[in-house]
Amino acid sequence: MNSAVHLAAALFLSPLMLGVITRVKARFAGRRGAPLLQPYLDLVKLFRKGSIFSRTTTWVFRMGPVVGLATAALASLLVPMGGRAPFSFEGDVLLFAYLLGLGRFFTVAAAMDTGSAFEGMGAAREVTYSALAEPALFLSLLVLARFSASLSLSAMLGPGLGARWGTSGASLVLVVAALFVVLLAENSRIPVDDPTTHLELTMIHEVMVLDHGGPALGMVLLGAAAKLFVLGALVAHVAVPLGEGDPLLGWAWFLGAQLAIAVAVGVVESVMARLRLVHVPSLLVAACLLSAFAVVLVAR
Amino acid sequence: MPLLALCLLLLLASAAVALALAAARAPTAAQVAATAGAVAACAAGLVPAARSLAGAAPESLALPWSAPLGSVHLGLDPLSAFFLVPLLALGALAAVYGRAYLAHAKGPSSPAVAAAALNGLLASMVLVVVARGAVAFLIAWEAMTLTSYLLVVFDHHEEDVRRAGWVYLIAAHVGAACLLAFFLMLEPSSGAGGLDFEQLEQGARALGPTALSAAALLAGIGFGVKAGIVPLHVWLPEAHAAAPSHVSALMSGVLVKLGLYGLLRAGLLLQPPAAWGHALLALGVVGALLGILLALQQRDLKRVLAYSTVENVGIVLIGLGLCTWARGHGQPVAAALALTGALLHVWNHAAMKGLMFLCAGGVVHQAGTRDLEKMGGLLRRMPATGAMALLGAAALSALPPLNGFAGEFLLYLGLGKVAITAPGWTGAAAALGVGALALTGGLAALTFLRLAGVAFLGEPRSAEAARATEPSRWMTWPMMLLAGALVVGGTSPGVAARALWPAAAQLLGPEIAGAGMPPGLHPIGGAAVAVWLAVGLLWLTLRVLVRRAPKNVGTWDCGYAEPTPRMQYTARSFSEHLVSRLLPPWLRPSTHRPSLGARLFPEPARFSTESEDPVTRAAWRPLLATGAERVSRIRWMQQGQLPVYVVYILAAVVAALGWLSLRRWLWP
Repeated sequence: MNSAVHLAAALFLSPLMLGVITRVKARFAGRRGAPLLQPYLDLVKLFRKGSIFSRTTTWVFRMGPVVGLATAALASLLVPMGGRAPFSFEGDVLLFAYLLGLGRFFTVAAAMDTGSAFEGMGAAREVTYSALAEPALFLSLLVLARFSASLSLSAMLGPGLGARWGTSGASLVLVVAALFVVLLAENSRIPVDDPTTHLELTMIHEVMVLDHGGPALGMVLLGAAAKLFVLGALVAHVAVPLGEGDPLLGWAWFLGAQLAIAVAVGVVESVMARLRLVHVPSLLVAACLLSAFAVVLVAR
Repeated sequence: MPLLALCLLLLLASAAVALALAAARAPTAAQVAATAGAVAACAAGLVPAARSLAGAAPESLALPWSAPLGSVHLGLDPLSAFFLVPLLALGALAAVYGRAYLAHAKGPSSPAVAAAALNGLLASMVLVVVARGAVAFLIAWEAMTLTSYLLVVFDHHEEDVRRAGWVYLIAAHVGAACLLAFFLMLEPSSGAGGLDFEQLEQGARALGPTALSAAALLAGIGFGVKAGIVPLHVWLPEAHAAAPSHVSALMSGVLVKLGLYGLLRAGLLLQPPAAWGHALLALGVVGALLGILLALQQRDLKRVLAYSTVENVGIVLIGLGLCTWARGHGQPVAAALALTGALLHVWNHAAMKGLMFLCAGGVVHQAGTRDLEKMGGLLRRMPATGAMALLGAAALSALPPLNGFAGEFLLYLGLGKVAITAPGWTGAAAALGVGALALTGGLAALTFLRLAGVAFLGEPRSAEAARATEPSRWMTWPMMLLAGALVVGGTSPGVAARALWPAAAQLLGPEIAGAGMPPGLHPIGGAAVAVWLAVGLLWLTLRVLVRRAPKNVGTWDCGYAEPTPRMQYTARSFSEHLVSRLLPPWLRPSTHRPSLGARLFPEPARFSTESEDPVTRAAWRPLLATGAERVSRIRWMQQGQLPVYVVYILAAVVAALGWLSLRRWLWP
């Protein structure tokens, strides 16, 4: 039951986060903006369209969207959403990170399968930046693991975290900052990548899926939204810890926190420009250093 | 034990038959005889190995030996059986694959002799693992080096290959010299004076701390050369790239691991203190990071794989170092997790790297090049090989649902356990180890996406690649068996971990192993099944949703109507951002740029990059050059005349005898 709810949330509520981000950006720009439910309409449209597959491509090209969506959906079963996750075991945090890695692997392989120069470019950037983001993610999670003396996400993000803000606030601030940078980088958001740019040369994620169309592109969009949702859940639990309470309250709190994260992403996208590509690694290395400092602070 | 003796006998007999048939000018029959002998021998040897891992009592066999230093003592315990399993399994597959791979070789070497040498290599590796005395061990170790050298220089008409073989031979003998000294150091001063491992163990107990450290250093160098531990790894990429692919698979999957076997055996003899764990851990982290950072720059398909072997040996060393540390600091669970993870990774890596080298062999065989920049689009032309290479690439990136994830998962758990419980700097160091492992994982994904993407996806970059076809089925089905092992190892990692637990228990000792196998892998198998199911389900969904897909449309190249294969991202550009912006200059390949515009008219110019190993460039080459210069002063001793050497031998014998009698006279 709980797993069905988690899956449904990751698949059906996640496009709303995209809608909120777009709306926030529009408001900042002084526009009314698209309807909040626009991503849903886009998805429905895409799933009803026909498809075009380049003659260069193979099964790998279709595997990209499929694996991307499947892994994001499975990752949603490991991350707590307001309560305990449906599946939790010692080390599930590793499975969580590597599932997202599997999704990325096939998204990148699909991009390279087209033989296009632009998609190869996006693929190379994606793997380079995600390799640099990986230590930041793991070290941040280790800080949380040290607090809870457990390597399971449900325990790490559990109710005990609230008390830690009082005792080890400094390291938690660092962790939230590092995780937020990882969230932006993994989901190809400003300042790492601009999802709305119109210049293929500067894109990362969007250029990798240039050749996908119709239902396959729908799966890509949904997978990306679900990934934003599960990584957002991670940040939400650390930034706004939840006490013990009844599940409904937990869900309400969780969805509120997710909305806040979407707004925060929208604000970041509105107030700053995309970094030059050569400067992106500095940001990611900074995130790694922040989380390493946090580790040293708590292990001291 | 009788079956193991049969295995050895079959290997040697079939090698002899093959050589006889080759001499009788029946090369095909010779190859078939050697291959059949290898397969039968491996099947026979796997039975006692499996039985030993299933809990049979250790066996041993002492053969009379008239030479000094006692009898030839063979034995089979779980640790030996643990290394025998990948050795024999991969050995049989490599033999079958190698017959087809070399059947039409055009070089000067005879495939039949190579097949016989492969059987000899298998036999000597089996002997290394079951030897229980230093004499037999060293003889087998040397035979292993020589037979593998013969195989490495199979294509000895190419200069690079001769050079690689030369480097390998020198490195291996430096290691062997250290091993000889190591074993002699452990010889007990009193007692029978034998060199059986049991007696050496007593000898090690009698050593003082300084002598113990010296012995450990000798063992570390001797076995570290074989295992490819940084900075002793420099022979590895050369030899792996030069050897025929099935030999590379065997070397990378098993021979390099025998260096780790030696380290583990030496660990049992020396009982290392916990502080050495730090050194192993540091060596492991450096090896993993340096290996993968060099792998992602290579243009040669097989060199990428070879450097990735350096990385994976580093990962195993991280586990061994953590285990050594945790044992001495009262963290039995972390020690058991780390050791089980390291051993599981040894098995997994043998399967993954074996598969990848066999796939690479298929590409080399069919497209005739090892250069990534000349490949591309091979998945459409060799669908089975390509699919299995993608599978292997994902496994080597340690991704679920494949087997590579399971071993690293246990290692992460072990490191994490220390990181979240140990106080102070140890906890922070373990946490940084987790960070290093995570970075290695991310870089491995980059490396193998680059390899698989550039070689197998997109459009062919050369005419040879465009003409490539699937290799013969004798080459594809050994790959398929290994690919199956990756999938099964991913969905039921617990089975493999249980199978190797007796070996881990033997290394951990009864007080830690008594608590039983650490749990933890069960959910991983379930998750792997869930991934396969979810992917399958969504794949079917996509098939249902996709309608009206028009045929024969090109890739959308942002409005450009005539894209050519040359416009694709190349292997070099794929890792350019990381290599030229983020790596320190000494890690980058050295580039020779043409000088343009110096004169009035442009002159002929040449641009080339050379990916010589930075450790060779920075350390070994200057060191050896200085050494060669110093040594050249005594070059006059080499006269090239037989009588002079006879005099040298006589002088050496007289000196040795004189020293012995002098010693007895001075210290009776």
